[in-house]
Amino acid sequence: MPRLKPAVLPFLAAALFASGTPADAYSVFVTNEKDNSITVIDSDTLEVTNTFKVGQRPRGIILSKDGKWIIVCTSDDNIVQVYDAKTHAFVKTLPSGPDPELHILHPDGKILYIANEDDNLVTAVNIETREVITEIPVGVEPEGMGISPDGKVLVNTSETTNMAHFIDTATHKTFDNILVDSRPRVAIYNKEGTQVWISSEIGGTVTVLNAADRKQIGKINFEIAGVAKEAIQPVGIRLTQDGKKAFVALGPANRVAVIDVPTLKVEKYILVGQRVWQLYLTPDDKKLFTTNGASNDVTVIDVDNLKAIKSIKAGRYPWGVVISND
Amino acid sequence: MKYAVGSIRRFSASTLAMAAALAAMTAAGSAFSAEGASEPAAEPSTVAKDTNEWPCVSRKVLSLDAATIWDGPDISAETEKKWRSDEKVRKLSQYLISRRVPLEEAEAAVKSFAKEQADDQRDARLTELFAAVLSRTNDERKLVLSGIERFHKRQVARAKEIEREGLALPGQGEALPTDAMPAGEIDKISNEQELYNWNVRVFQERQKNIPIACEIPQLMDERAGAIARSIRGEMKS
Repeated sequence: MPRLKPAVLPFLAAALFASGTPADAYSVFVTNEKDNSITVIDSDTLEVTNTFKVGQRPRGIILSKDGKWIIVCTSDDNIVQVYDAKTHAFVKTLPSGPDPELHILHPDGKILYIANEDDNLVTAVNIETREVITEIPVGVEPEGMGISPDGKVLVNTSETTNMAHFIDTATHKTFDNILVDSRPRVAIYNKEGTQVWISSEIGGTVTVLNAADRKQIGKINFEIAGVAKEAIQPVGIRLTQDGKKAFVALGPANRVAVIDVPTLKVEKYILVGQRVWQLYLTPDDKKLFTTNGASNDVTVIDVDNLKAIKSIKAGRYPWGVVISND
Repeated sequence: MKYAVGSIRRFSASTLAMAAALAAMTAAGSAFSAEGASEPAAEPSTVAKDTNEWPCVSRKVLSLDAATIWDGPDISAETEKKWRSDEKVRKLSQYLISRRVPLEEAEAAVKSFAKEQADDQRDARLTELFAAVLSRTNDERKLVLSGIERFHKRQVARAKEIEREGLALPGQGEALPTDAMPAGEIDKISNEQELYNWNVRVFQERQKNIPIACEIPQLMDERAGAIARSIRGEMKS
């Protein structure tokens, strides 16, 4: 870990306050898989503002479209839980099917798609009525969930089948299956909906597909001096709003790779905490927060300077992360 | 992804189970002894060759590389040589990696070691200490990894034997729940069926140890990372 010097931050905050234009402060929510809790961090002060208990083994975490709810996969409770994003009070549960791990919301804000790792299914649930709309059979050990910005296509990755399954959200039928490298973990569309990025944990790569015909645009390999190839395990992926940069969490390599999107070249590797799995950008793209499962902390990266600026203690085994819109 | 996790700070039931699992798995191999143990030179890590013998969900990573937890000075061959002949560093590094020692106490020991050093020597000595912690972690890690693989191999052999025994039974390998049987009925079980039931039970009990043991290399890495941060925090360069 680099030695981080957060000393400038209070000065920056004070200066902004004095000028009457406070910095945008977002709430960062981190699920702690082992502690059954969520750590809340202020994105401006970079301090923990609250920690609250949730169901067992919380992993995937997202926001509702209106930003009022945080929606958490509590895997060992075989359910999805909903909490108020402001008060952190429990709101309700949603049926999820067994062992929910990752989920994604349709852009209409109503339909939640949940990967059921143990059942080889994706469950679709209406988050208002709690009605299970359908269960879609997919490959073995489904995990990664991506949805096109227009909501027409859902992508699910299956860890053991090593495939990305493309599902039509109108019919809930799979219309294409693309083989990718071993143990695909995360699938994500770019903002324009033209590309799908898929990370392969054991393959050690990120595959970029053309969304229209599912043909491969490119494949990103990672090499870090002094780090064994097998320790480089890509999982979390995030792209900046302007589509110029992508960040990939590399697991026990303890690095976040910075990718130049137009060329698909790795620009830099940033040393973060141990076993980095997931990451999330603030809505203004100024900061990136990473969950580090083995060092039980969150690393904050300054996106403009591509530097780790602070590590923040979270609960045990931080896993998922999401950031509020305001 | 099913990543099992655990705490290193508390002596919980799971920690004790881990210790038992580790003991069982390393028993057949050479015991690792701190004092007076021969300390092989550090080897560069290589890609795991036979993943079929690796039963853990997490990918097998053969060694913990300095570059994953250390942004301090490079560990040179000279540094490696130095710590091995430095008794203080040898003893302290063994103490630091022991998961029986609470992390707070280990961090205090690092601080105290740093304080004892002359200003112009501090960073070099702390780098030696890190090299020693990493090297010892990797020595112990190697034993644990091979122990997990040996254990898994024995389980595979046991499974094949159980399958063979099962096919020879009238019910073709259906384990009878003897604990739920009415009194008097148990006597009717054949010796072969009893042996089969016993072997299935032993297999299942042992299988439960595998996920627990799979956590051990991760906990070692976690510990080494925490110690590395503590050492690095005492350095000026």
